Amino acid sequence: MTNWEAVFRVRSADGLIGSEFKTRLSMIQPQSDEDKSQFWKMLVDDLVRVLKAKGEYPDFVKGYEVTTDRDSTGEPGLYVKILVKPAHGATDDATVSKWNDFVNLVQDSLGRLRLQRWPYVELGEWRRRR
Amino acid sequence: MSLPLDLLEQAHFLSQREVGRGRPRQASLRRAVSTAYYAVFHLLSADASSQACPVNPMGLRERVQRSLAHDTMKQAANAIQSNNLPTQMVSLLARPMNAQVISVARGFVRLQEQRHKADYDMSDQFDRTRVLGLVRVAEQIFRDWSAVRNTEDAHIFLAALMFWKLWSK
Repeated sequence: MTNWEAVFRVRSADGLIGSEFKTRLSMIQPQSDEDKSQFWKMLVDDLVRVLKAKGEYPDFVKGYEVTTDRDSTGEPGLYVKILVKPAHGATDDATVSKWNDFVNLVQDSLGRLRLQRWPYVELGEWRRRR
Repeated sequence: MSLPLDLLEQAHFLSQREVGRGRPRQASLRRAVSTAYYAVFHLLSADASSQACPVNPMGLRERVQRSLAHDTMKQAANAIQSNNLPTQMVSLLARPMNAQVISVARGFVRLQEQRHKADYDMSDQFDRTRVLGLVRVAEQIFRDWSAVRNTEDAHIFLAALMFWKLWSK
């Protein structure tokens, strides 16, 4: 998978594997064969890999969750939850702003791909044994 | 204080309730998110109607403000944050849109989506971290908007919030 394309390979029910083909990420339609949770998770994994390589993946991020759903207006959405250590007591504004800066970075990165699912990036609390 | 500022203050208050007493109540967290969104909604819709209408006749501005639709505003804000603008808007812009206006648009979309979940989706549990982030987004929108509200790009943004359905055709 690259920033703009994904490589797929068809696998039939009896286990036969077809040849590889590339598809632009922006061409993947909701409810199509390619529109699978696993694909969207891989896309975000790939983005995280790129951010780590660029040194833009902060230590406070402990993980992330990727899901798909309809958004509030009924359009297909891609939901990414950035997991950070819980704020038990009073959390200072600067810390929350740093969290939000990373949310914005992921949001903008996914937005630039012009996906058919609109990306929604949100914060969430990281807990052990999720 | 104005209604938008009062709502923002309430959102902040609700986001900090039950600190140090175990898990905060879902009611406090959900109302904080909803209130943060409405603080921003009223901030922008009041400015949009002020830009579109004279003071007189009395009540006209309020009537126009009431006619603003959440989904239309979201579509406009989405297009602005992703720089996916129709010709009618592009021809008004001399350069790329102001970064703070884009930040306001992005925050508005995030808040509206989460407001919908907070008010209607009981399967989605809110936690304080998420809510603190959202209230902070609303506070940042107020700061950004204060800095740019008299710029040409902000005027175009407000017009887009009102007329998106026509402009995007």
